[in-house]
Amino acid sequence: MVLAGGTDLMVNANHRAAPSGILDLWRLPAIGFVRISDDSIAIGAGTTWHEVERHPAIQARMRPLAAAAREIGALQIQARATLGGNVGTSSPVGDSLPVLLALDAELEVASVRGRRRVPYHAWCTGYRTTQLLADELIIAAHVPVPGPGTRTTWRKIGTRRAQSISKVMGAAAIMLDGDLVTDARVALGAVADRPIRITAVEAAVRGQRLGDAGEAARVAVRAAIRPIDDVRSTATYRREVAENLVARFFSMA
Amino acid sequence: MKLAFEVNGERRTVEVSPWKRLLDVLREDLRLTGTKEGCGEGECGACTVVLDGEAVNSCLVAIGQCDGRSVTTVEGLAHGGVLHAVQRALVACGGAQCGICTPGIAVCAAHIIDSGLIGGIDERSEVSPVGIDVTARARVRELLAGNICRCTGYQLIVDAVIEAARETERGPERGGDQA
Repeated sequence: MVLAGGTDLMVNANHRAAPSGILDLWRLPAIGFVRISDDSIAIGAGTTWHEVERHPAIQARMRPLAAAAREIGALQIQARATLGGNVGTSSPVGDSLPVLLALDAELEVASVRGRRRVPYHAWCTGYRTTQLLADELIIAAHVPVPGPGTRTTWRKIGTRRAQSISKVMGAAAIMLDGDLVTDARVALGAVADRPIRITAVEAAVRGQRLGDAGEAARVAVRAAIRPIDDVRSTATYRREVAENLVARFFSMA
Repeated sequence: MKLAFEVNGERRTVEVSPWKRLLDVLREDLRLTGTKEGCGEGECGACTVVLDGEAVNSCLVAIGQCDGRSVTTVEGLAHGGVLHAVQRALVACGGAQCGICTPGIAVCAAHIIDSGLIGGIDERSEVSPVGIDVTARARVRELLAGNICRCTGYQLIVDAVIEAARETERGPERGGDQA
C-alpha cells in the first residue's frame, strides 16, 4: 500500500489493523514538483493542495484548480492531502476531479515496465476504481493551460465551504468566439459512481449563443445524470442543483 | 520500529508500530496530553499540531512518517514561561468554553499568525479566486475552518486571533508584558 498525506488512509487508523506493507511517498522529490511550460503545467502527484492553491502559475493560469484546492477540507487537510491521492482514491466526490476533466488533464503513471500516459477522462473505470495497475505509481497530472478564448469555472455545493463533503460540484471549460460557444467541456462530481464529463451538455451547447447555452445545458444535464439519495443529500436535490450549476456555468462565462 | 524526532525543540525517541498515529504517540508514549482527540477522522482539528512547519491533524499522521521530523504541540507554544500571544488573547477574550477544541485552535492560530498566513490585519486584500470576502476576520475564519468548536460559536475565538495578530504586527516590545 502506498501512503503520502494519509488523509484518506489514516482515517480511524487506530481501529484498524496495520497494513502488511506501507510504502511512504511523502515528500518524495520524484513526485513533488510543479513544472511550467508554455502550454501546460505538470503537477507532481505528491504536490499538496496547499501548494497547488498557492502556486502563482496555477493561480494565474488555472484558477479553477487553485479554487478547488482551497475548498478541499481545510488548512490541515490541504497541508497533507495530495493531487495523487485525489486521483488515486478516485472518490466520486473528489473535489479536484471535475476540474481535471474540464481542463482535459492527462495522468502520467510509471512502473518498472516504463511510463505511460492516460487521458484523465478515461482514468476512472467505476466506483473508486481506475486504470492504475497494481505495480504502477501515479507520477503527475499534465494539465493543458486553457487558451485565451476559454472561460473556466468551478463550483462546489456542500453544507459549508470547508471540510464538508460535496453534495454536488462541477467544473467547465467553455471555448468562445465572441458570444458563440464553439466547444465546451463540462464535468460534475457526486452525481454518478465516478466523476463524469457530461458529453450530452457539450454537444447541446456547441454552436449556441452564450445567452441560449445555459437553457440548452440544463435540459441536456437532466437526462444525463443518475444521482443517488444518501446521508448527505437526495437524488432530487442533487438533480436540481446540478441543472442550476451547469446552466450557471454558461451565464457566468 | 525505533525512530527519533523533535518535539517542542527536544529530541525524543520511541519504539512503536509505524502505523501508530502521531496523536497516540504524543499522548500515550510521550505523555503530552494537551493534544486532544475529537473525531479521529481529520474533520474537527482538535488534534492539530505543527509538523515541519505545517498545521496538520495528528490523528491522520502515521508515526512511521515522523522519523527525523519536527513537531510542535500546544505544550510548546509558550516560551520561557510566557504564553504565546494567541494563548494570552484566548484568555483575555474568553475564547474557550469546554476546552476540548482549545489546544488545536491555539496551535492552528499560532501557526497562521507566525507564518503570516492572515496577511495585513487592517487591510482588505485581493478578491480570492472563489470570491470569498477577504477581510482579516474572514481570512481567520477560513484558515480556522478545520477547527470545529461546538460551544462558543467562534466569535470570541476570532476576536482573540485578530487581537493576537494585531499584537504580533505591532512588534515584540508589546508581546509578553502581561505574563
